[in-house]
Amino acid sequence: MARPLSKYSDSDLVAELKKSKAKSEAAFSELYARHSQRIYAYCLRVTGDEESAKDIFQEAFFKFYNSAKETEAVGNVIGLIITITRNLCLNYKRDKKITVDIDNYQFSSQDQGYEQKEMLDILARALDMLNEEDREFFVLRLYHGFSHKEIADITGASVAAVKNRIWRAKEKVKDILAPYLEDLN
Amino acid sequence: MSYSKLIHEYLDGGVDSTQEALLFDMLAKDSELRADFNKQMKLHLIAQQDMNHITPPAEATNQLFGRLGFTVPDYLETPPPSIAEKVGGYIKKYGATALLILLTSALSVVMTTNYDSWFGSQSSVAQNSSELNSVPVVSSFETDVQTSSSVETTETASNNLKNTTNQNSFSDNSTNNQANYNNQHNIANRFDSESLQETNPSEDGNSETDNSDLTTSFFDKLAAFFTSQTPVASSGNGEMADKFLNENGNMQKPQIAFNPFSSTIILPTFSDGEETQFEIGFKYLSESSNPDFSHLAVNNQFYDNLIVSGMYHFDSNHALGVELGWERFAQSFVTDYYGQLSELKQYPKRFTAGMMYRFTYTALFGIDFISPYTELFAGGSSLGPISKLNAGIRFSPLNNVSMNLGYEYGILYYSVDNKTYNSEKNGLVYRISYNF
Repeated sequence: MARPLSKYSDSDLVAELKKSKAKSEAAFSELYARHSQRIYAYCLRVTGDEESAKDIFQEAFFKFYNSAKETEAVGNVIGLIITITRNLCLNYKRDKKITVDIDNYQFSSQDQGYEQKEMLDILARALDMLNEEDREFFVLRLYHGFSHKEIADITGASVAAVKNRIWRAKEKVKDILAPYLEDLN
Repeated sequence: MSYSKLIHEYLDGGVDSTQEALLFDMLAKDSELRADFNKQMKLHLIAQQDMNHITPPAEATNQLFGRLGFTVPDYLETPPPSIAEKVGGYIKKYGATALLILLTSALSVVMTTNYDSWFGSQSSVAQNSSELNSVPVVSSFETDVQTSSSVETTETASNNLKNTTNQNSFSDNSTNNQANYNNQHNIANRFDSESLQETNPSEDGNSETDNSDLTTSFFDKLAAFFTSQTPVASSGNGEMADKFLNENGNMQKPQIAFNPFSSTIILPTFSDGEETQFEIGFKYLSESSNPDFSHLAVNNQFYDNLIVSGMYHFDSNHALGVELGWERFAQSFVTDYYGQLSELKQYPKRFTAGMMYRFTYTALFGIDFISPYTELFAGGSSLGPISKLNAGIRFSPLNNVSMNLGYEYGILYYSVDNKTYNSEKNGLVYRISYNF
């Protein structure tokens, strides 16, 4: 009796992608179910734009599928998907520079009291104010929970640099959100 | 290394036991450091919440799988919203506005088209003793259609009225005003009121004379007479002075009645839409219309026009709720009391209830704590349906407390002897509210 795909490791599933269309389709669906949310969250928070995030997200999985089929073995599947996604995001950001005036933002956000959803929206807007590199490190660490070493592998930075950037990004976001964090229960 | 960075490394899982002990030792001593710890902890938590909150759109999933030539498996498909969910969504989004429009429209239809047939069969004026304790009848003009005189003359009418006025004002038992007394007694019986004052222009009406003609000519004369008279608001009895008042009216226009919503105190509320869902408040209306009725209020007190409201905020713009009040309404109407046409004026206090909708123009001025607003009210009292429109400015100097300053226009529709009257009132509205 065959194992259910949910018992397969990511690497096993990648291996299944090279087999028949039915097996490939089933394996891809399982990989998609496991990682699509994290990848889309990365796209959305790094780009800060839903339409762009959607396009990059689709393109990332499409490229991953084609890449995985051509690769002998993939040890770190999520790392591969993130790397592909990251490169797409870098291309996107290279084409489109977005700047946000922090002073204006802080001035218009003096209201007190907010719901959780609004708090998350504010967090997203705060991330938009970080520079691209800081934002990426922040997302990879606090959103995805990658270790410093994993982030270093994905980004090509040193572990020490990763630590510093995450610290710096956190401090910036914390400062922006300070009035909200104080009131948040 | 700063302690703030030490907190960061602790939450990042990068401190040894020595550093951890040092950190907790400092946290026990330093409240600011504890606050910083809380902030950093919350930052981690909301980042995780944000992560869990984000889901790839179904559209992107469908496009990707289609592009790869795959079929989207059932467990990845987001079921389309059911009809019930769609309807529920529309209700949630537009329900308050639709309900208000519906209520207002229904009320308008009733008032403008079917009011007489719906409500006209019964008088909606204060008619019981408890009501009339606070509802003085201001004045009445009567003709005795059972008597033999053909047409009342101006002179006669004026003289009689003067007699009546003087009677009510300065004496209690003048014999030549016996008819007036009887009439007053009859009306008092009908309305169960001790606070009734009337003037009897004639005791010698002609029963063969057309009633309306007589009434018209007579009341024209009365109106002419009273325009030169100061309404008498006192009698020999000090207690009655507040209740028995002489007033004049235009009897040729019985369908027009003045009903000022004089001082209405409302304590309504206000809140900043998205952040607070509920509000409770109090409102007061300082009426500027129909000042001639204000002296008719018996035991007039501050809470005569106090209104309490409770509202639910759908978002920062839309709020819907209920409003309960204890308000005065000026009424002026013509009715037939035991064969005598009379115009009565009164200023009853009534319990009012209804629904209220508010639209707040958030950040219209670019200042968060000042917002224009518009309110609509549809409801009623035992007298009849009421609608109000109120617009002004809301101030929110504190987190949960708001103050409104606006102008309100209200109108009450009521029926007497199958005739529909309206009573208008308007004035400045002051409101304070607590949001939670």
